[in-house]
Parts: sequence; structure tokens; C-alpha cells
Amino acid sequence: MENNKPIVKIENLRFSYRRHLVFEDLSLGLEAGRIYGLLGENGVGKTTLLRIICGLLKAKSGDCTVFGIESSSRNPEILKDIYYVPEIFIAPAIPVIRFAESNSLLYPGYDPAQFERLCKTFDVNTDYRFDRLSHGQQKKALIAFALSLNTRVLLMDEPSNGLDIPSKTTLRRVISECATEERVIAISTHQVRDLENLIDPIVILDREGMILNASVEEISRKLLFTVSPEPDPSAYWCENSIAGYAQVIPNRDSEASKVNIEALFNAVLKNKETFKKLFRS
Amino acid sequence: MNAILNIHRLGLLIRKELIEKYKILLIFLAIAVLIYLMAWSFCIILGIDSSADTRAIWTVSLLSFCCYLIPYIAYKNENRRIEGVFYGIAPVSALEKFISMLVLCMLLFPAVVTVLILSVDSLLTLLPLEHGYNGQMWPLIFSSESFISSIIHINLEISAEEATYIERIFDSISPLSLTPYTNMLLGQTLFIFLATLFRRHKIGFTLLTYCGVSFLISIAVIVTAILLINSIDKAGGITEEIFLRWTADAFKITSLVGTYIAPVIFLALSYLRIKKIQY
Repeated sequence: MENNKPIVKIENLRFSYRRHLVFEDLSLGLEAGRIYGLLGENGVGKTTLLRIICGLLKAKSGDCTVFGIESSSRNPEILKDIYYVPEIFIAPAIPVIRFAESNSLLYPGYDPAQFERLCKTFDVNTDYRFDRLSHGQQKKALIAFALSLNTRVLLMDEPSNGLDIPSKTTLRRVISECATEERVIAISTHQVRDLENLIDPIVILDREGMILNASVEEISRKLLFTVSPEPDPSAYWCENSIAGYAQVIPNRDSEASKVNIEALFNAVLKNKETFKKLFRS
Repeated sequence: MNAILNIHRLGLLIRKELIEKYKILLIFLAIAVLIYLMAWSFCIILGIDSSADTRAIWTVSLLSFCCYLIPYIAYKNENRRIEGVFYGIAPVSALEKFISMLVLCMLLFPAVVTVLILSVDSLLTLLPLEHGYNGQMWPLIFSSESFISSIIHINLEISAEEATYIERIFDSISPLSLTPYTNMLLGQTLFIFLATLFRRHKIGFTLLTYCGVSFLISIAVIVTAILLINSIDKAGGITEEIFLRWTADAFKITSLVGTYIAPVIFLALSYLRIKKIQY
């Protein structure tokens, strides 16, 4: 990966909810111009991490800075360039357009024409009351709003949850259209198939911290994703299917293969220490 | 400094909150006016005349009730983990959020509801009906002396001696007292704090807290008063004059703390709560 200065810098972050430790020693940098996929098992702290970055939560120890300023300070000068799309939210009892008008007042980068265009793309009627839309429609409206704010940091928690199949395709398209060199987008997701071909780099977390933070190019350089008639003894992960053995093996011969994020995730979970060493930057 | 307080940003925040909350505020205003009109219609139906003194007391109570409730209505969800996310990530400082809340709850809404109800009252007093409202309430709401003397005059059949005692106590606190309107505004600070403190069942927990603390204070006051009264004119005890002076002083201190010190403390606590809250 190019060595750009990270917009979001996380160092030795530790967070716990009362006695439940979420993560212990997380260090991570998010650079501009990238769409990060944040993966991990349930409860490793993906949502918590996003909430810490946007200032909703404060870590117990360690640093999380955005544009060089502590995120826990909730400085409005950085908050106007950050937006967070939560997985679960309660839509207010006002029309979507009024929600956009009132909430966008504080974001200087808001483009109302872009918002209208994105709502039209998602087939969301902005005159309808926000709380009376279906869950999927609410999600699409909020995503359209978030993208039209043109903040330099956009955090999305399970954005494809609740969306129908055509909307997931539309979501991929609009996110990639709205991604710019100045912007960093971090998407926390379990639905990796919904966002394959979009997220790059891929970050995989566990409770101790980060296992992997690598670009798709680096992953495909070091690993081979293959389906073969026989299992490879050196496979990090192997699953028997009708087509053969789907495997993740070391890329000994520098062959090109398409990164299967789901297979990668399974391989990482089974070989955490190996992958930490393999992708140590 | 720009990160802590920016007037333009504060203005935008107040505008944002008004856009989001104006409907609910209007509904609440309408309910307040309806209650007032209902009271007037009871007077008409029952053939009762209601003087300005009587109306002033219960109007202040109604206004207080409305103003104490408005932080719970207008800021119901802002400190909740899921519902309050949009408020939590809003690019404004804690101080701006705090000031905006005060503007809405302690300035705008009380001013509008007071003007509305007093205007309705003035209109109703002008109606040429046999029974109903008479006298103007405006001076009583905005003057502490008039309000206190109206309370004394309404009261009770009390002896000249008891009246002297009551007047002495009121004389001790009247220099410190503010108009009923200002007292109502400052009394809101407790409820603003409790509305920001509690995330769920706000009104229930507020009532419990209020009743609990009032109960404890009442017990302490009653026990102290009984002990003091029992020791009046006894050997080694206090005289009636000393008891009266202590009572007046206690009222003065309570008035000072309740009117001036407690609101400042509650406002400071509210600000800290907004600043430190975790979502």
C-alpha cells in the first residue's frame, strides 16, 4: 500500500463495557482515498471502533485521532467532516427531506442536488415521513444523506443489512461513485459478498486487536484462492463443495486469483498468529 | 475558541432544533391553552367569578408544569444510545448543545406559552359575561411583591399574631425573591438536569427522585421544627423570638440556595452531563 498519512490514527486502543473487554491493544491507520472493509467475529468491537472514531464513545486508554485531533474531544471542526451511519437507528417522525434539511445545516459539504439524485437512484420518496418508510427504505435514505454530506470520513455499520438485492447492487455503485481521493470510507460488515469488489483494504479484527490490515493486491500476492479436486495439506482453510475443495493456500508460484473475502475470513480465524506474521507491516 | 463556541454554528443548531421540534412544541402549547380554556369554561358553567389573585396562583402552577415538562418532551431521545446517535455526532460543541437547550426550554418556550396564556386570559376578562374572569393578571406574574401579597390575602382565616409571623417570614425572604416568572424559569434547571441525566423512564425517575429528596428534606425540617418548638420557653431552651428569627433565617437561606445557588449547580451539572455522555 502507498504510505499516505492516515486521516484516522488509532494507537494502542483499549475499550471495555464495564467488565466486558472489547479490544485490548488496537492500532490501525485509515488513509484517504480508500474504502476499508472492517471484518471480525461478533463482539470483537467493529461497531465500538466506529463509534470511537466519530466521538460517540471514549476509549479507556490509547489514542484515536482524526485529522490529528482526539476524536473523544468531539471537536466540531472535525465532526463536520465525519458522518456515521449506524446499523440500527430510530428514524424521526418528520419527512425525509426535512430530516436532510435540518441535519445538513451543520455540514458545509452538503449537496442537496446530490441527495435528491441519490434518493432517486435508491427509489426513496423524500416527501414521505422517515419513520413510516420500511427499514430498507430508511437505510437507503440515510445512506443517501450520508453520501451527500461529502464528509472526508464516512463510517458505515452494516450498510447492506435490510437492503434488497437490487439495492445492494445500487449501494456498491453509489459508494464507489462517491469515493474520492480525499475521502476515507470504513464499512463494518458481515455481508462480505454484498461488498466484494468494493472494499479495499480489508481489516480483520479480533479481541486482542488487529489480525490483518492489507490491500486486496497484497492479499492476492500472498494467498491463492482456489478450488481443486484434492485438498492441499498447507491450506489455511479448506471447504468441500460440489465443485471441489475451496481452499486458501500460500501463493507459492505468484499466481493470480480473485480474493474470496469469506474464505479469507475463515482462513484468518483459523490461523490468527500465522496471518498476523504474514501481513505484519 | 471556535471549537467551544461559534455563534453562527449555535444559530444553525437552534434553527435545526426548531425545524425538528416545532410541531411537538406547538402541540404542547395548544394543550396548555386548552387546559386554560377548560378552567374558564368551568367558571362559566359553575357560575363562579375568578379574581386575578386566584388565577395568578394557578396560572403560575400551570406555566410551571408546562415549562418543567418541556425538557422531557423536546429532548426525550437526545441522550439515548440508539435514538440519540444523530444528536451525538452533530458537529457542535457541548456548550452549544447546552445553550441551545436553554434557549429552547428556558427562553423561547416559556416566553411563548406565557404570552399566549396571558393573552388568552386578557381576552377572556374582556368578555361581557355574567361570570368568569375579572382583573388583570399580568402585574401579578411579573412582580414578586404583588404575587406574595396576593397569596397572603387569599389565605385563610388567621389571627393577627399569625399574620404578623407570616409577614415577618415573608419580609425576610422578599428582598431575595424573584418574580414568579423568573422563579419558574430557574426552577426548570432541576428538570433540565434530570432530563439529561436519565435515559429511560425519565419522568418516572424524576418523580421518584423529586419525591424522595422532598420526603427526606421534609422529615428533616419537621423533626427540627418539632424539637425547636418543644424547647420554646423551657428551661435552657429558646424563646419564641429566637425561634421566629431562626425560622426567618432558615427561610432566607433556603430561598437563597433554592433561588440562586441550586439553579447554577443544576445548570453546571447539565452541561457536564452533555459533555461527558457516552453513546
